[in-house]
Amino acid sequence: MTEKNISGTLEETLAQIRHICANSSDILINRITAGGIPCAVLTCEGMLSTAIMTELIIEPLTEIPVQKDSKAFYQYLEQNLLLSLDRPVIRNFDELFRFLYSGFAVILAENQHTALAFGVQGYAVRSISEPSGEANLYGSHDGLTEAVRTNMSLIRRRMKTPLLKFELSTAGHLSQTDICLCYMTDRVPPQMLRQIKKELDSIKLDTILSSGYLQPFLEKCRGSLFDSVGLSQRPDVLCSKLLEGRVVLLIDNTPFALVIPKLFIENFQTLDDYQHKPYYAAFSRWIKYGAFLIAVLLPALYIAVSMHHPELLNSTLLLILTDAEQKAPLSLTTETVFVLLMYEIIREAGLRLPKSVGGAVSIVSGLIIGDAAVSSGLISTPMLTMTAISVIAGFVTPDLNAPVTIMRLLFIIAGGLWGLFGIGLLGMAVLYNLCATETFGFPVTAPLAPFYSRAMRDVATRVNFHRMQFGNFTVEEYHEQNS
Amino acid sequence: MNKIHNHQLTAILFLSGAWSVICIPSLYGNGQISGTFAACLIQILCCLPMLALRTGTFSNQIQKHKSLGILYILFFLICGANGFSQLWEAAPPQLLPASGKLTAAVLIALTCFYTSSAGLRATARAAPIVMSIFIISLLVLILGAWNRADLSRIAFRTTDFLPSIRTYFSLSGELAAVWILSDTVRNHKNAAVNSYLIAKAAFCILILFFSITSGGRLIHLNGYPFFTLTALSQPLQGQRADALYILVFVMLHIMHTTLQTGLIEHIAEQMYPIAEKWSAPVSLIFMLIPAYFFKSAVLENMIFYSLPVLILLIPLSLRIRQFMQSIHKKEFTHEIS
Repeated sequence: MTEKNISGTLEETLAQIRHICANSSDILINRITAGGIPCAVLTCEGMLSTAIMTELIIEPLTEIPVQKDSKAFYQYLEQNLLLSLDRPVIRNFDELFRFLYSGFAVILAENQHTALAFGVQGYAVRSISEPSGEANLYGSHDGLTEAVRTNMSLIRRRMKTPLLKFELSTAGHLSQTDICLCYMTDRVPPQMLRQIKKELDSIKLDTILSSGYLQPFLEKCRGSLFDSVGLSQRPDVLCSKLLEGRVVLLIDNTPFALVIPKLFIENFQTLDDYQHKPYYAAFSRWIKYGAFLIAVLLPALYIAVSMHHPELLNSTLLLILTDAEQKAPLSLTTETVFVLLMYEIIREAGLRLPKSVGGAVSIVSGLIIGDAAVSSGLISTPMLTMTAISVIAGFVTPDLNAPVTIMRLLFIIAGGLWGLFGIGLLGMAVLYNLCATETFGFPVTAPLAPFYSRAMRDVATRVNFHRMQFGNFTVEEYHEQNS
Repeated sequence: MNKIHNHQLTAILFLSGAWSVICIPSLYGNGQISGTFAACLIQILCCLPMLALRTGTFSNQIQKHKSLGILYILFFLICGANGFSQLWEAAPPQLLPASGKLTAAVLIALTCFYTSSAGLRATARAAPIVMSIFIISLLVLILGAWNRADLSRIAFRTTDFLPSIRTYFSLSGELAAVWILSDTVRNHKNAAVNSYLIAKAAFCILILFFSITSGGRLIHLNGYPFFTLTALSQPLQGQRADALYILVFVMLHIMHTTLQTGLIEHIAEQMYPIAEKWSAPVSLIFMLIPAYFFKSAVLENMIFYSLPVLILLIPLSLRIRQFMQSIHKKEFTHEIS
């Protein structure tokens, strides 16, 4: 687009607009005379509400008394008519198209170097519904939608304080996507905020179609298995993060907000933990920690022990496993990798297919393939049981699905090749990968490494709110300065 | 270098030292226990002057005296090589499932190449986590050995006292890292170093005590007190759990080698910034080569003789030099005035 200023006659300006948008069919130009001044009302089809447009723009325009010139016409519009609450003044074509494509109505008058825009957006958006990915028993049931302004209101409804600040800007050279930086002015680490803004300003992408486009720019550690920037669909979760001094980034056209920074331990925390009694919340936390280890290590340990360290098994178990494995034609490692890859294929198929066909996939995979493979002797039952337990345990921490899937396969290969020795080697590599991950000076391993004993009240256990209300924790405590 | 916490320094040094301790061969009597205790006291007495004598940061010193940096690099190479040598010597009782000892060492070296590339700060963060896993496994080990422990199995031999002091010193290469790492610690440096020395001595004495009391004469069959203890201490009935200690074995060796590689990388980078990329792979290769040709006893001798130079003589000589320079400077300014 162009940053050229609006100038010349109305006819010339309109010609230029038609030229820039290459006579695009969705740009509607209505020439009218209002207050005795020739002017044009520009809109983008489908982006605004026709009813609001007629009621708030067209009707008042026709009732304007005769003005002496265009300048007086603009003055009258600005001072005497409250056509909409959002009324920016446009000076160049770049701004003009941005507002036009955002659902604003733009009024251009003869011989004027500016245009007036009026917010009458009325495009179709999905209504607020329960987030699909972050199910919660006791929390609120509304989730973010695709419209950034709706999402801002969802957060604002929960945080009625002037300390919560929203900063709107655009990103994406062509898409001009609205992004909104949210933070608590009294709690956000100023250095982190500065760095985030700098990072966002440096993005040279053409389009921002999802949160995944921005995430890599905010994750400072390359090659990491784990996320250092979080995602959430829940406004209540976002509010809790904002209270801890984190920055939330809302992106237009995506129902996921980015949370900066994210700690590894947060993968095991849910809003329901704060609803239950502390003893149950702590129990549930430890179940999740255990499930994560089972998801990653169980098949690998099974292979390593069966193939390289059978002395670790008691004689009864050893006999059962030996008997089962003797009937299977493939090696234990190959068998496990094969089953896990099949599971991943079925999962992908179930995810992409229409829901009506998804049921059929479950029947084919679960009953036909699974049952047939075991009864034909292709796959041994103990191995299938271990794999199934591991996969189910992975569902407990959905945010860690990607690293768990990859790590599980790598651990299986390492365990199959070198037994516990291989698992130890890979375990150390993964631990170092996790420990090296940080963003804007915040290590994802905090508060475990470096260790903050005060934070254990919400990690090793979950203390009640009588104790939780004291302390004023902010994430800045975990910031690690470079020398 | 990035700043680390004092508990992280304790954990790094302890884990690096613990690797050497689990590879101590042939210690079977009360002489060793008292010798180890004495060695620990001597080390505390050595470390206190070292911390007091050091002049400025290590980074500043090696930029002024490059030979100092080279000396430290050589020392850490020997420590790393000794680690691999110990792995090869201790490997048979552990029955590493990797095909051959060389493969096991190469796999560890490759992992260390990755872990050292993550930086010393990642090592500092990983150390307390590894240490907590290690302490849990140690508790299980001791619980298993508790029922077998019999004090009458301790052989009273005072002749072992002096050799065990020497052994303990030759397995304390990480003491040389104290000066370098203490520059990076935010606060309570001395407390962190003392905690490490006490923890290491306690661990060593604990291993010796339980391996002697629960193993008795059996300990001679294996030669390595720690591995004998893992074989004897079986917390579960009907199945052997000693293979699980392979995980501990691997974790400690990686921590030990990563520390040496990370320190070499840090010193090389300070001296020659261009060396940042290749110093880790080159140092790992130069650890594997001597480890292949020399027995750990030879490398331990080298560590034993060079350790006093690095932890006492060099800080002392630098302090004297600084003192002389300050006197010279005072005289010069006095003459001018």
